[in-house]
Amino acid sequence: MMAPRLASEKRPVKKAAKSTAPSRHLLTSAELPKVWVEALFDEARRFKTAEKAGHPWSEDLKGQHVGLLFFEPSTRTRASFHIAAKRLGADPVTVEIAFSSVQKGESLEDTVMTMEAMGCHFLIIRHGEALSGQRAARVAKKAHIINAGDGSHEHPTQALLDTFTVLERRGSLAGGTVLFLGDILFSRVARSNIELLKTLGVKNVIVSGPPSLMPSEEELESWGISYVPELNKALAQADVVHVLRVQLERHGQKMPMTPGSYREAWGLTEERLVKFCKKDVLIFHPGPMNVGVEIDREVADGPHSCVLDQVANGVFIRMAILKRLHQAC
Amino acid sequence: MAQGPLLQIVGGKVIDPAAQTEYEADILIQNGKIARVDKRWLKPSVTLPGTEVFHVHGAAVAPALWDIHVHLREPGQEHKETMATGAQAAVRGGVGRMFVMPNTEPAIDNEETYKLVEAQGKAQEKLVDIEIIAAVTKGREGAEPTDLYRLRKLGAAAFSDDGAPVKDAQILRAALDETSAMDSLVIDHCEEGSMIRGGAIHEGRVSRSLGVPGIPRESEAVSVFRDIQVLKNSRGRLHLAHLSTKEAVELVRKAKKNGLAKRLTCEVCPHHFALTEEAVRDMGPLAKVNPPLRTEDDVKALHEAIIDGTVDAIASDHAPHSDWEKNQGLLAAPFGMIGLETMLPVTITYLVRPGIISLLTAIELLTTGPARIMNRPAPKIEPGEPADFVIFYPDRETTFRSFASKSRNSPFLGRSLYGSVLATLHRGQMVYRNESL
Repeated sequence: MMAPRLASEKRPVKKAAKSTAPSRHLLTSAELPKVWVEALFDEARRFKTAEKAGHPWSEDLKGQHVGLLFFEPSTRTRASFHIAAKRLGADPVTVEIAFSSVQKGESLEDTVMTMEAMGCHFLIIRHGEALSGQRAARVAKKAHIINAGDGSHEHPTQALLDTFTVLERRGSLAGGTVLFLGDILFSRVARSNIELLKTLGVKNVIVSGPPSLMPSEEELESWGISYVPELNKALAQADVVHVLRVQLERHGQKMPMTPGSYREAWGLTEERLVKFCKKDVLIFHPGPMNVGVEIDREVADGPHSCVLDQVANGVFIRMAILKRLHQAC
Repeated sequence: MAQGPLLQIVGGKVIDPAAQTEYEADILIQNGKIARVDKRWLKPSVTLPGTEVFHVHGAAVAPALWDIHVHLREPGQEHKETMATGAQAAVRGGVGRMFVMPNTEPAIDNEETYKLVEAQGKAQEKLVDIEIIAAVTKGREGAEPTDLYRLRKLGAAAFSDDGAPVKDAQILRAALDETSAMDSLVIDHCEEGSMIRGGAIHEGRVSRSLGVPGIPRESEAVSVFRDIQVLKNSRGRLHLAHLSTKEAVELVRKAKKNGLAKRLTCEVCPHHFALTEEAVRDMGPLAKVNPPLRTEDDVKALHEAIIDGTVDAIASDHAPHSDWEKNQGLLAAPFGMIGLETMLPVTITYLVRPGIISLLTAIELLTTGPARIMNRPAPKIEPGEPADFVIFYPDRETTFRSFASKSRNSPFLGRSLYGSVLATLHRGQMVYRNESL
C-alpha cells in the first residue's frame, strides 16, 4: 500500500527535541518527528488492512501490561487503548481513580512508580493538569508513558488519529485549509492537532469561535495560525473543520452566552454547512459532543462527518503507538 | 411620496462638529429630514412661500445631543422617573438620543425585561430616541454573566453593570471579548468596592470636617487600572463612565498613548467638572453623587483631559431620586443627581464661557464624541440627514426653578446657567419650545 502523501514542504526543525524520536514515551505532538509519524501511519494502515482481511491479531505485546490511569473521565480514549492493548495480546489494567489511593492523597508520581513496580510496561495517563505526562516520565524507570490528555495542554494520540483520518479521506493535506472551530482556549485537541499539522507541513490552519474562547493574538501568532472572527468566512475557506466541544468544566466560570445563543452564533448548523461550506468539506469532532450546541445532529451524522471514522481509526493508531514504543526499546 | 410641510430655521449659527465648522445658515426641513442648508439666503433671509419660519437669530443650531449615560427608573421606581418624564427632561435639555442604564428593578438582564423597557422607550420615539444598555451580569451582581449575544440581538446598544463595576475581572474580559464580535462594547463604572466602606462623599477636607465617611480617590484609580489591564488582554472595546479623579484620567491618557486609543474611551459628567466637594457643605445630599464631587485639583485635571482629547464625551449620569429619599441626610440618601436638562448649560457655563474649550468642541463632546463611542455615524448637518437639532442661546442665562424630570435632585436647582435651550427638534418636529425666550 502507498504511504500517505504528506505535504512535502521542507521546514526547518524548530526544536532540538524534534530531531530525536520519542524513543520511549509519547508525551506531546510538538516533539514528534515527521518520519516517525509517517511510519506510525503506515503501521496503523497495516493493522487496518489486516482487520479488513480478517487476519488474526498479532501477539506483539504478549505478556505486557498496559496500565490505564485515568484521573479524568473518558469513554473513547480509555476504551480505545483498552481494545488496542487487547488486540496486541497485552493485558490492560485499569485503575479506578475514584477507588484508588489517589483519594488518600497519593501523588501522580507515587501512583506511576507503584504501577511500574507491579510490572506495567505502559502507563496511559489522562490527567487534569498540564505536563502530567512529563512528571510521570521523570519517575518511570522503564515503562512507556503515553499522554492521553493533560488538562488543556495536549492530546497527542487524538491528534494522530485525527490527522490519520484526514489523510485517509483526503489523500493529502498540502494546500488545504484546516479550521478549528469553537473553544480553542481550553482545547488540548486543537493544540496537539495544530502542532502535528505544522510538523506535517500544513500551512493553512485557521481558528474561529467566540473571542472569549480564543487564545491571545500573541499565542496564535506563536502557533503560526490566524483567527477568523467571521464564522461564515472561516467555513468557506475550510477543507477540514474540527468542531470542538465547549469545555465548560475547564472555564472556571460560565460563558456570557447560553447554549442556544452559542449554537446561533458559532454552532456548525446544517444551514451553515449547506450555505457556507465547501461541497467536499470534512467535519471532525473529538467527542463527546454537545449536540445542538456546537454541532447539529444532522451534521454530526451527515455525509461530511468523519466522527465515527475518528473513533474506529483511534484503535489502529493506538495499536501502532503501543507497538512502535515497544519496539523502540 | 407626499411632500410634508416645510419648516425653515432662519438666522441661526450652525455648529457642525462632524464637519468641524461653524457658519451662519438657514436650514430647510421637510419630511423629518434636512432638505437644504443654505448660506446664500442670509442677506437678507429669503423665505419660501408656504413655509413655516422659525427665526432663531443669535442662537446656535447644533445636532441634538446624545446622552450616553442616563438612568430612567422604569421599571421599578416610577415614582422617581418614567420613560415619559425622562423623555420630557431630555427634550428640554436638547437631548435627541439617550442610552439608558440597566439598573432598573428588575435589572435589564433578560429578554423579558429588555422587551418591556424597549416598548416603553418606543412609546417616546416621537420625542427622543431611547436606546438600551443591558447588564453584563445577572441582577448586576457580578457573579453570573447575562446572555450577551441574545441581548445584543434584541438590540442592546452596549453592556454595563453601572451603579456598580463589573466585579469579576474575568467576566469583564469575557464580556469585552464577546462584545467585540457583536460590534458592541462594555461600559464600566470604576469603583473598587472594598475601598468604599459606607463612604458618602469624597474622602478629603469636607468629609473630615463634617465627620462623614469618605470615598477615597484611590477607589476609582484602582478600578481604572484593573480595567485597562483587562482591556489590554482582550479583543474588546471599553468605555469608562463618569471619571472624576486626576489619577483616573492620567491612567486613561497613558493607556491611549500606549496603543489603546481605538479601544478605550471615557466620559466625564458636568457636575464633576463644575463642582467640588465643597458643594456638599451648601447642598448636602443634593451634591451626593457616585463617584463623589472631588477636589479643585481633580476638576482642573478633568479640564486638562477634556482639552487634550483624553475625554471622549460628556454625559449627564442623570439619576433621579425623590425628595423624601434625598432628604434622609447625607449618609442615608441615595447617590445621584439629575442632569438631562442642565448638561448643556453646565457645559457652556463651566467650560465654554471660561474659555476652557470652544463651543464647537463642547458640542462635539455632546454629539460626535458619544456617537464615536457607540461606533455610530456622527450626526451631520447635511441634506438627507434626520432633522434632529438643539437650538440654544449660548450667552443667555436661565435660572432653573423647575424641571421636566419627575425628580428635582439637582445641585443647580435655583441657579442661573448660561446656554438656554430655545427649542429641540426631533425628526423635523419641534418637540420642545421655550416660549419665554
